[in-house]
Amino acid sequence: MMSNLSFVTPLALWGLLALPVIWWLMRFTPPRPQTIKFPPLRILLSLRSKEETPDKTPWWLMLLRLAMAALLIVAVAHPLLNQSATSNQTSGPLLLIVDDGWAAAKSWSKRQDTLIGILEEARAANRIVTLATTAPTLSPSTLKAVAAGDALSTIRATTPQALNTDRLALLARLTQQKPDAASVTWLSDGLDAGSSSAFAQGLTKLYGNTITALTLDSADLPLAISRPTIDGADIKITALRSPAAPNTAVLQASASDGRVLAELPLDFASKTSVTAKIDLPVELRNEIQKISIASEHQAGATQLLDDRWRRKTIAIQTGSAQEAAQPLLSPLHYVSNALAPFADLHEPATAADLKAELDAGLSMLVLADIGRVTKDTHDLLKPWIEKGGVLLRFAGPRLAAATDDLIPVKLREGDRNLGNALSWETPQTLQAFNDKSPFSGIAIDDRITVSRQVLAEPDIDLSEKTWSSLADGTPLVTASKEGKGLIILFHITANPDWSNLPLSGTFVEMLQRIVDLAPAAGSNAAANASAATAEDFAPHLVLTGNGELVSPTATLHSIPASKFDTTPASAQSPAGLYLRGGQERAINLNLGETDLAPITAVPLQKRVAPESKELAPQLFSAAALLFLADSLAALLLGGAFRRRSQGPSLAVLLALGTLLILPPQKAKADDQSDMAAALETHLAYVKTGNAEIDETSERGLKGLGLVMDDRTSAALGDPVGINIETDNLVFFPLLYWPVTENDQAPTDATLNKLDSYMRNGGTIFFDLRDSGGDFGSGSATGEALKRILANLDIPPLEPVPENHVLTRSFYLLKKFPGRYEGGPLWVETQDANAASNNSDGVSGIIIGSNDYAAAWALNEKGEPMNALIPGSERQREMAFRVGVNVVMYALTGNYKTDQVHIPALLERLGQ
Amino acid sequence: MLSQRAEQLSQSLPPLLVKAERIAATVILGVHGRRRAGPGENFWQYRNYSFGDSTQRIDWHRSAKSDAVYIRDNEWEAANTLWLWSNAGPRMDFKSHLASETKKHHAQILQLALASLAIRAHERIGAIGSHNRPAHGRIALRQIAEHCETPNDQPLPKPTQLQRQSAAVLISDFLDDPADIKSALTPLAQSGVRGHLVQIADPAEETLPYSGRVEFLGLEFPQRFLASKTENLRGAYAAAYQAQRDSTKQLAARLGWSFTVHRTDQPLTTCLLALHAKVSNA
Repeated sequence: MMSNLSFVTPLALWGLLALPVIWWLMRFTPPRPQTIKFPPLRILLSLRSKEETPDKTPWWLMLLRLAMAALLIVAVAHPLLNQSATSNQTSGPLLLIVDDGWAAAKSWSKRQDTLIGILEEARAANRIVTLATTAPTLSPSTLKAVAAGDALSTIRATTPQALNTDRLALLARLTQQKPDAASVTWLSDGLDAGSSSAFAQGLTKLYGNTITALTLDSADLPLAISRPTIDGADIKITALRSPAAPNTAVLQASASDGRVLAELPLDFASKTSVTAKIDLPVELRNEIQKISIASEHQAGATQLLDDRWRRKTIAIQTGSAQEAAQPLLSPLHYVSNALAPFADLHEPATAADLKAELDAGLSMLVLADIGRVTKDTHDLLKPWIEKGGVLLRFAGPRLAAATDDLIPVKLREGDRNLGNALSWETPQTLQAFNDKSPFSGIAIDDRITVSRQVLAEPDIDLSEKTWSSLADGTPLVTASKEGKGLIILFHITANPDWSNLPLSGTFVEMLQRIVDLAPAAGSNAAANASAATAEDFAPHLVLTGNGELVSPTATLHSIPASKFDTTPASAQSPAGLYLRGGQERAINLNLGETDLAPITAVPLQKRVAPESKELAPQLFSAAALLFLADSLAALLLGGAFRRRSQGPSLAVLLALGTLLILPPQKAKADDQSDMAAALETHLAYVKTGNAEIDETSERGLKGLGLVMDDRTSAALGDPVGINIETDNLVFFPLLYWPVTENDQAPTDATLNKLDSYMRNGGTIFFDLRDSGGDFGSGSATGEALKRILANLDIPPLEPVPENHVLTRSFYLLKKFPGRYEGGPLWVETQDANAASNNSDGVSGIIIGSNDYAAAWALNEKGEPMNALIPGSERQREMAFRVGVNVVMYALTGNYKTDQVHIPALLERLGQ
Repeated sequence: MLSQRAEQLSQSLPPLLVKAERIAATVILGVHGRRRAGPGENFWQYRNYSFGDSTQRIDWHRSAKSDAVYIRDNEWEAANTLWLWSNAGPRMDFKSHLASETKKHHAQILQLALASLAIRAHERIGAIGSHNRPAHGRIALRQIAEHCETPNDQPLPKPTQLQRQSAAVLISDFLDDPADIKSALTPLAQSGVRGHLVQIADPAEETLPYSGRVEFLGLEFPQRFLASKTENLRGAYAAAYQAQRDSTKQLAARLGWSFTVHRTDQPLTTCLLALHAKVSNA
C-alpha cells in the first residue's frame, strides 16, 4: 500500500515561486532597530568611522521566515495525505461505486476525502473513471467513463440521498451497460441492506477478481429511529443501532422553526435498539415537526411528524338549532369553549359536510341532545367508530325521549328529576372518579350538582362502562368500545340546564381527557374517499440525506391522496412533508432493525478505507509556531531582553514558585460562604437533589434577579443553593422550595430550623410545579408538601385575598401565573385574630403551584429556557411580575402592608 | 498669552522652589561677614560712646549696667552678587532609564537652591541673560525661577559684562564643541568673575548602557546614528566622552574656575554642599 500526497487546491502551490522574491526582499530589510534619543550624539558621530554597519538579516532568521512562508503556502493548498485505497491494479479504466444513501450521510465528508484521494491517484495515473451511485435517482443516468478530473468535480458536488440504497438496481444497470473497467472500487456505507452479498457476487461475475470493497471505520456506522407511535399521552420512539455504532446518543424533538422542544438521552447499553418516550404537554407535543438523533445529521435518524400527530379535528352537532342571540344557553357553547384550545372545531351544517369530514378522518364527533341520528348518518357513523372514531354524546330532552343504538348503555325512557317540587330527592353531587376511569385524578369541585339526568338500565357490565357516577351511584358518564372506537355518553345536557357541571373547570378537564383518547386527525380516513381524491399531495419540504428539510426540486410530482398512505419513500416520492390544502402528511424512511445490519461476509477483497489525513492544520500550527519564534528573534535582535535587569524577572519567578508551593487554603470555607451570603442579599433555593430541577431553580432565580436589578432598587446577588438539612438559612429573606414528588418529611432539627426561620421573618416559597394543581387536590407534589409541612407549626392559610399586599407590593396583580396559569397562591391568613407566628407581618409561607422558576429561567444568552403553557409573552411578563412582587414582599416586610393603609391614614390625618 | 504663561509658571513654580529651598535648608549658611563693624545684623562689639556718634545708637541696656555709655556695633555685612545660569536647551531634556529625573530638572533645582541659599545670606542674585537686574529677597528668587521657565535654547551663556568680584555658577552638560565653550566662557572670566562650572551628566551618557541594534537620534539637530552592535562601541565612546569632559575641566582650570560633576542618579544635596563650599570659600 503506498501513500500519496494530494492537494485540494493545487493552484496555491504556485505561490512557492514567490519565495525567492521574499528572500531577496528580506535580505535587505534588517530587523527594525531600537530608537533612542541621545544627547551626546556629537560624540557618537565622531566614532562613525570605526563603526561598520552590517545591514543584512542573519541567515538563520531568513531561513526561519522562508520556512514560515513555504509552510503557509503549502497549507493553503490544503494537502491530504492518503493511503492508496485502490487495488494493486493502477492502470486502465476504473469503476467507482459509491453508496450514497442515508447511511453514508453521517460521515460524508470523510467519504468524500477518501474518494478524492482515490480519484487524485487515478488522475496521476491518467485513468478514466466511471462513477456509479447506488441510491435510486429520479432518472438514472447512463454510466459514462470520464476523465478523473471531471469525476473529481462530480464527487465534490455529490450529496447523499435520504433513501435506502438499491444496489441490485445498479447491478442491473451495470449488467446492461457494461462499462469498461480494469478495476472496480466500491465504497460501501457499511450496511448490508439485504443485498450486499448478491451485489458482490454480481460484480464478481461481471468484472472478475478486480474488485475492492472499502468500508469506513466501524464507528461511522449510523444510528436510526423507527416510526414513532403514540403511547397514551407520550410519543414512543424506538432508536436503532448497528452493532459497533456509538452506544449513547441524544434524541431531539424540534418544532418547525427549529426550536428544540425536548431532549432525551439514549443509552443503548450495547443492544441494537432502545425505546424512549417523549413526554410533553399537549400544546408542545403538537408543535413537534421532527424527531431526530442530535449527533447523526442524517435522514435515517430523522422522523417527521405530520398533522396526524398533532391536530385533532372535532365536529359538533346539536339537535336544537339554537339562536345565536343567547349563546350562553346554546348546548354547544360550553363544549366548544372547553375543546377549542386542544383541537380544530367544526360545526358541519349539512349531512354532506359531515360525511366529508368523516371521510377525511375526523377525530371526534360531539352530538349534543340528538336522540336519533338519521339512517344515512348512522350508516356513516358506524364504520367510522369501528375504525377508531370517538363519538361523544350529551343527553337532553330529545335523547331522553328516544335513542338510536349508538349509545354505550341502554337507557330508560324519560329522565330523572332530582330536587324539584315533585321530588323527595335533593340534587346529587359527583362521586370521586374511579381509578380505572380515564378521569381519575381530576379534582371534583364539590359545588357541582346534578338535578336531572337520563338513567341507564341496570346491566351486568354497567359498572365497567361507567366512567363517572353520582353520589348515589347512578352513572353520569358511560362509555363503550365499538371496534377500535369509543362511544361516550354524558347523561346530562351540554349546557347548564340539567347540571352545573358544564360551568365548572372539572368539565374542561374531563373533555380534555376525552380528546386525548381520540385518534389524530386523518388516521382513520376512508381509503376510498371519493371526494377527497380530487386533490393530490404536493411535496412541500423534502428531507436531504443530512436530515435537513429543504424545498423540493421542480421535478417531483405530487402523489394522489388515495395512494399516499401506501407510498414508501423513493426517488419519486422522497421522504418529506406533503401538503394537500390544509392537510399535512409526512413520508418517512421506514427503517427496522434489519436495515441496520452491517455487511458481514462479502466475497471481495475487503478493506477498511484508510482515512486521508488532513495536513493543513498541522502546517498552519507549525507556521504559527515559527511566527512566534520569529517574533522572539526580532525582539532578541532588537535587544529587548538585554536591557532588562534581572530583578523583576527573578521576582516573577519567585512569585510563581511560591504560588506553586503554597497549598490552596481550604480552611474556613464555611465561614467564607457565610460571609459571602451575609454581605449581599441573595435569593436562595432548596436543592432537591434532582439536577434538572436545581438548575431550573438556579437559573430561574438568576433571571428573576436580573429583572429585579433592572426594574427595582433591590440589588440581589447570585442565587444560592441550600441544602435544607445542613446549611444556615438566616441570611436569606426568601427561600424558594421546589417540591418534588419524592420529598420526605425533614428531620426534627431541620423542622426547628425552618420554624425559627419563619418566625424570625423568613419567607419560604413552596412551588408544587404542577399545572393547575392545588395542594389540597392530592397531586403527587401536593402530597409531598403535606409530608414536609405535617410537623411544622403552620398558621391557617388562604388563597391570596383581593387586597393582600402580594397583589400590590410592586406591581398591581390579579393572578399569579408561572409556567402554568391558574394555580392559586396560598399565604397565611391576614385575619387579625388568627395567631400569626411571624414577627414582621410577612407571611412566613407562600405556596404556589405554577412552576415559577421554570418561567423565570433564562439561559446564558438571556433568552427564556422553557416554553410557557398556554404561553404568551404576556404570561412570562406576568410571571416575572409575580416574582418581583414576592421578593419585594419578602424584603420590605410590613412597610408595604402599611402602604396599603395609606389612603385610610391620609383620611384620618385630614380630619 | 502672557497671562497664560504666567499661570503655567505659577503652577510649576512652587514645587520647584520648595524643593530647592528644602535642599538649601540642609546646608548651613556660610558667613559673608567683613570682620569689622559696619551695617549689619550680627553683634560685633560694644564700644564707648564718643563724640559724633548719634545718640540713637547708644545701647541703653548695656550702659545701665555701668557708668560708661556704650554703643553697640554690628558686623559689616556687605552683599555680593551671585550670577546664575543653567542650560535649558533641548539636550537637557533627557532622562535615561537609569535616572529618575531629566538633566534639566536637576540643573534648575540646583540653580534655585543656590539662589535660595544666597538670598538667605542677603546676597544679590541675578540670572545671566535675564533682563532683570540682580536683586535681593524672594522677588529675586521668583525672577530666577521665572527665567528658568523662559524657553531658551542657548547651549552656552551669552558673553556678558559682569561686575568684578562677583561669583557666577554655570550649570550645563557641557557637551558642546570645546572651542565653542572656550569662546563663550573666556569673556566672562576676563571680567573678573569667579566662576563655577557644574556639569550635569546622565549616567547613560557616561556609560552608553545600550546594546544590540540601536538608532540614536540627536535632540538639538535632526541627525541620527545607527549602531548595529552598540556594545562594541562602549569603550571608544567612554574614551571620547571623558576627553570632552577633560577639555572642559582644563578650560576651567586655566580660567581659575572650579569644575564640579553631578550625575542625575546621585542626590543633589551632595553636589549642593560641594558647590556651597566652593562658592563661599572663593
